Amino acid sequence: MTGWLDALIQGVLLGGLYALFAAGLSLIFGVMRLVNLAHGDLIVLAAFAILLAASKLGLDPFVAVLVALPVMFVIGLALQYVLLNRTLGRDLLPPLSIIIQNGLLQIFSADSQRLRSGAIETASIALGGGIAVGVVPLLTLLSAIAVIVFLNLLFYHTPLGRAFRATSDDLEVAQLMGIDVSRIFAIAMGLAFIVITIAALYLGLRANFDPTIGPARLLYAFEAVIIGGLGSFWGTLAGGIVLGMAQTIGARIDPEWQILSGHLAFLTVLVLKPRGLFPRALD
Amino acid sequence: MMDADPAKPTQAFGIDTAGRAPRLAVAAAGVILLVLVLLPAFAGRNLIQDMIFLFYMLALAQCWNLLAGYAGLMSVGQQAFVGLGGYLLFALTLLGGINPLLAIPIAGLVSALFAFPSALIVFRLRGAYFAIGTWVVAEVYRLVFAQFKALGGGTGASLAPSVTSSVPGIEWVKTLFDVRTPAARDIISYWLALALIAGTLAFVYLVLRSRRGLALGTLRDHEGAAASLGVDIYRIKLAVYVASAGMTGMVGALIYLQKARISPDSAFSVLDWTAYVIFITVIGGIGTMEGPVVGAIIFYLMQRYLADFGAAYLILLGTLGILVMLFAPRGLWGLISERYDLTLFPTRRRLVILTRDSDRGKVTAK
Amino acid sequence: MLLLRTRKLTAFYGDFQALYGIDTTLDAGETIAIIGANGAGKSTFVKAIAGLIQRPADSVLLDGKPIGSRAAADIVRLGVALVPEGRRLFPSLTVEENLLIGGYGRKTAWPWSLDRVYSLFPILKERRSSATPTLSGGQQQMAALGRALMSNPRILLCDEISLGLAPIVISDIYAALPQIKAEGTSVVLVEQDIVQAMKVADRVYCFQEGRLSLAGSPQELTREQIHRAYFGS
Repeated sequence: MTGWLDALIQGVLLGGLYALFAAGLSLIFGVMRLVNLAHGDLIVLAAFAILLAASKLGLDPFVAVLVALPVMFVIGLALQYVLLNRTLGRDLLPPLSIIIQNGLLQIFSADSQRLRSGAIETASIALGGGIAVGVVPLLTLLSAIAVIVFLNLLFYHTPLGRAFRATSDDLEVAQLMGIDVSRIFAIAMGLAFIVITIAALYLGLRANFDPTIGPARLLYAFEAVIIGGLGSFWGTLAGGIVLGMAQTIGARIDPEWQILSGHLAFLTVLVLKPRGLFPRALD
Repeated sequence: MMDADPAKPTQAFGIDTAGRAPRLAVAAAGVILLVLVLLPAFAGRNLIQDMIFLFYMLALAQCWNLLAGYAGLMSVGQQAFVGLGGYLLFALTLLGGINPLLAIPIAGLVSALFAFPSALIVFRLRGAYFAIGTWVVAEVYRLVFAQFKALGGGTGASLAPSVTSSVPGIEWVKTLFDVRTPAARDIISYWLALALIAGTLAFVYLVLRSRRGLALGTLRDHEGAAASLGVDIYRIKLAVYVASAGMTGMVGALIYLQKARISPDSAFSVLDWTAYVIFITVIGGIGTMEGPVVGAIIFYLMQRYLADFGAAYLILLGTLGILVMLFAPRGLWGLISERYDLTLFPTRRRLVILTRDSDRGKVTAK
Repeated sequence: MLLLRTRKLTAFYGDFQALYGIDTTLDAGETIAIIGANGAGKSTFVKAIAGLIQRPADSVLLDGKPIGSRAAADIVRLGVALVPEGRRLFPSLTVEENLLIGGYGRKTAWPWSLDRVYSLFPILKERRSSATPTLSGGQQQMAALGRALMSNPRILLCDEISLGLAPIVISDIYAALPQIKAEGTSVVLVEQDIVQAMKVADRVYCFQEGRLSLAGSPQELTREQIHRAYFGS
């Protein structure tokens, strides 16, 4: 029995990581109606940025991420302004994904990397009954919740958030409100890059990473968004958790079935509830 | 660009699908086909193998082009059917004892059947979501096949010599061209590949010229308008998806017959069977039949001479893709055909105004 | 005092020419009506002024300066607001949020504040937290008008605000115009239904197939003239 309970708890914690992956994707879709196909590779790029800051400046990853955040924010702005604001910008994302992967391969080689933070990596909190939660996974989940809360506050309680939603609803009329759409897109992309960088921190702390793991992260992020339902940040959190639990429960049955279970859960939701578990009322 | 003679009431209109070049192109195609069939007589084994690669990449590109360029279904999951076709070939021959030549069409048929449940799931999604949905389906195939221990599980399997040598015609080829068994096998594979690509091109061409093909064009250009005209979108998309899956499955079977070795990661590789295929189609010109031909040739040349550069080569491919999309959105064939007003596979319809004396005036009314 | 001027304004939708060199003027404080049949180019005209459609750089002049090359978002900030055809409220925003977003690019907080718009259209205050698709057509039109007012425009372009509404609702909406005019706002009313527009307009322009077919004040124009200009010979 504890085995299953443990699997569920680990699933929720894993879900926190997936929710972080998904939040950036959700944000970009929520403003630009665009599925960022390079999303996974950008997470990996951010992980390497943190790695670079950590190793070159001798910083702990938790500090190095603070260095990487503004850098990634600027890269996000630049990417939006230079490449993606063009009419066919979204079509450029797949080749961009290939370029990022192989660029990282050229620079860093295909070696597995890891973000090292010392004792905290193995620290855990005992919950009794033989179940323990790792401190890093717990932090991941808490960070995910914090990001989701922040995004909700931003979108639904600030003028910028209103502008985001208006632009997403009707690009033309948004301009009639005096909204500079290019600027709004760039800010959204910059914010997404910040979320991506936070996700990258926890990705790198939790497991090994290398330049080729991007596409799989995109799939998990995407699955989490769809399971949760489009248009809702809390839905994205829920979707991530459902995906995480599906994977850990599948792994409990047979370790080789972990990822497959996630895919099957996604496809099941797609067939039974195509709009996701918690979709926004209107779309 | 209308004929400036509107007041005459006896004007009639006709539909003409012939462009400027096709008669010449038909003759040229005949010659090319003949040369290709006879190629093994004077080409070395390396060239034959290269041509096999070119043919099957072109076939995959034509299938993807039909899906995405005409029916508007941007799939990133065609590798599902390549792998399925490959594994079916292995299963049918190794486990079922069926002759490889027969196994290829069976693989295609079964792939087409598998396309139905796939479609049911992924057709609930649109645009980029559809794309990723197809990718997830392909991943499911990959992970499931990795569980089949009978076919090698995660590490894969090889085709036994008894199977590879049971392809009919090997002895005849050996005598005819005075070559050894492996070369003879390649030559047979080459003819199979040639037959497949010829069949694929013919099939795509006939579909596009048919009434359904006209509907396909409207789907690509404006789905909303198509729906309002009574075009049964779902049915057509399903038909295209299934047909494409079937053809892709056959190509997959051929590919793995020729490679004689399969593994889940190879058979369901996004890079090999989707990314490269999309590259070929986009570089050449999406939405035209000639485009993938141009793209496949360019890609083949790049693979041949540049693939050794590894990651740098892929960066080059990506950059080239971006440049073409930015500056030549209709692909390289698009540039050529616009410049010289050329069409080799005439599938567009033109409205023709017939004069009173029934002389065919080739005036195109836009 | 001349506020807005269009000079040889042309506009295309792809290959199709929708406007053939339109010359109009708008003085400060004026209300002009743009009338004409369906497809005559009236909407295209105001969209071109608002910057949603490409037009020649010097074909639209505000305060004597050309604004033809300015983007739509800039033109709002210059004080020209468009109430778009079909209202086009933002479905993800509540009524109040729609009004607030109208003020996103405004330079001054006066004369139209949120409270002032609510006093102009009290029903909007009642429904301030509702999702806009749940409003009736007339209420949506009021919200759209209020949203445009929130940018404190000097020129208010109204594209078919009576479209699809019952006559009594149209009267309610037009009843708000005097207050808007009292603030010194110049109003351009594009209408297919001539009656209401002619009642409040100082001058009328009639469009026909992308060209100006008639111009003058409602008093001096006869019914026959208008009929001919509207429908053609």
